[in-house]
Amino acid sequence: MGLYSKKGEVRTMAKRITVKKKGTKKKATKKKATKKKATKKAVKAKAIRCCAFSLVKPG
Amino acid sequence: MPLSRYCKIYRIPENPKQATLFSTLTTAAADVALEVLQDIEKDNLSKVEKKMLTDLGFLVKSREAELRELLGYVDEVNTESGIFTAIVVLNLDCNLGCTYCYEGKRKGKHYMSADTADDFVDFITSGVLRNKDAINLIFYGGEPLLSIDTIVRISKDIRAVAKKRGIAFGFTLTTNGTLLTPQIVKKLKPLGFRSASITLDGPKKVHDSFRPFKSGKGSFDTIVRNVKNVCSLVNVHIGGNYTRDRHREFPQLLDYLLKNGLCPDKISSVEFDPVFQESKKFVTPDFHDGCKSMGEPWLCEASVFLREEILKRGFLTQKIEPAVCAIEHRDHIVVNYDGTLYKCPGLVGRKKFCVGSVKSGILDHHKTHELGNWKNKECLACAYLPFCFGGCRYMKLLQDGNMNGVNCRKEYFDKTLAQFVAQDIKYDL
Repeated sequence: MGLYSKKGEVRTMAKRITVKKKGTKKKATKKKATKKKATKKAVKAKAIRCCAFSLVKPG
Repeated sequence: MPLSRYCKIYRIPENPKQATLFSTLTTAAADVALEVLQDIEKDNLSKVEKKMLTDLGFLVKSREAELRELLGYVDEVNTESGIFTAIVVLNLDCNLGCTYCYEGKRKGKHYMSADTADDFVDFITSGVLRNKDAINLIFYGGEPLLSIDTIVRISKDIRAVAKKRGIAFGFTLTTNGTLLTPQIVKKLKPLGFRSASITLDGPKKVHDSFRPFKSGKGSFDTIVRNVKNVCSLVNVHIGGNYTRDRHREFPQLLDYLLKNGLCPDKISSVEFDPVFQESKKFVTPDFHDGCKSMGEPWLCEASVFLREEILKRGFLTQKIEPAVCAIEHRDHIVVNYDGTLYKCPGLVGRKKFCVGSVKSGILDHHKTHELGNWKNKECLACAYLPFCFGGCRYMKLLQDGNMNGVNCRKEYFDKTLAQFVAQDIKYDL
């Protein structure tokens, strides 16, 4: 099992893996993610961007 | 189990026995011993390690299944989206005379009429609000605060309908900040005003040279005074547009803000972006300092440098995360002052890219806007696909005069992403 540091970093016993950032949890399979509310929440987290960078603002 | 095709492996210079794994799909990051990488290849990981790396998105059951999931990513965003966003270009007029403004010669005394504003309200309330949880308007210009009456007219009407139907409503302003007084904020807040994006192009001297009033007088002091007066009333985001020659001076602006009490608790976020070179048809003929492509070497250095300067002073900035171009997003539209519809503010006024009107609704634009242009062999094999999805169509248009093909950002991410990831870890973004 993993050990948890104060910062929430997860360390394996042998410290071969140190999680630095958990990111967005990966969906296990599409079938399991059937609860409507959970699906909506996950999709809302996907960012929409106007372009690679923000456009220069109008003067 | 194989490594995800969206897993990047970065060597850690100060620790040669370890590497950082970063998933461009989940944005998870982990430092692993090099032998873990060998054990992944040999399928020799312990159960606990395998589960951990799978949960984080570094390992997948099948690379083909993962690819299928990515191919459906944009469709999923569009199917499940609960928010409709409209950028409303209220006018193409302005009280500033910015040297690089991409609206350039398209500007003039063009204002949205009361009739068009009402048609826009109908367009929103009679059609697009079906099955939506929220509507978000971004009032844009020109300078949107030159159209304060239209802001009130539109937001009052849409807010009333949204309230009746149990739909959340709010709006933001993309404004130059010269007219954003506490009185204006107090007038707009009850109508759903949530935040203002205000541009400061570096320290006073640099900003005033790029963004003077039409009279030629500098606008820096007026904007900073207004930001100070309204930042406790409404969220304020500071943006800045830099060029190759002036970007190194931008940290002086951050120090100035801190010195003047505009600290991270008062400013919601700060983001600096490069000015892109628009066509000579639109910008002032003497402006040539815009960035022509994302592959320019100075740009990679500048974006990492400025992001670090923002973060190290405690300000928030944009996270590194998967994003889809607004053009691909069904529930995102730009409404021009005359009621015509576009998919991107950069395309406003270019008739070829008009996708309808508030009266006709949104017409099919798959071909003109190259939707799904990223579904090709090269993009599907690219680890940066979740950050890109074909890149920015507007930038492609500026670069090549057409939208045929993708705006590839591989070179840019090759040079910057490892450092962006290190920043996200360091500053706990």
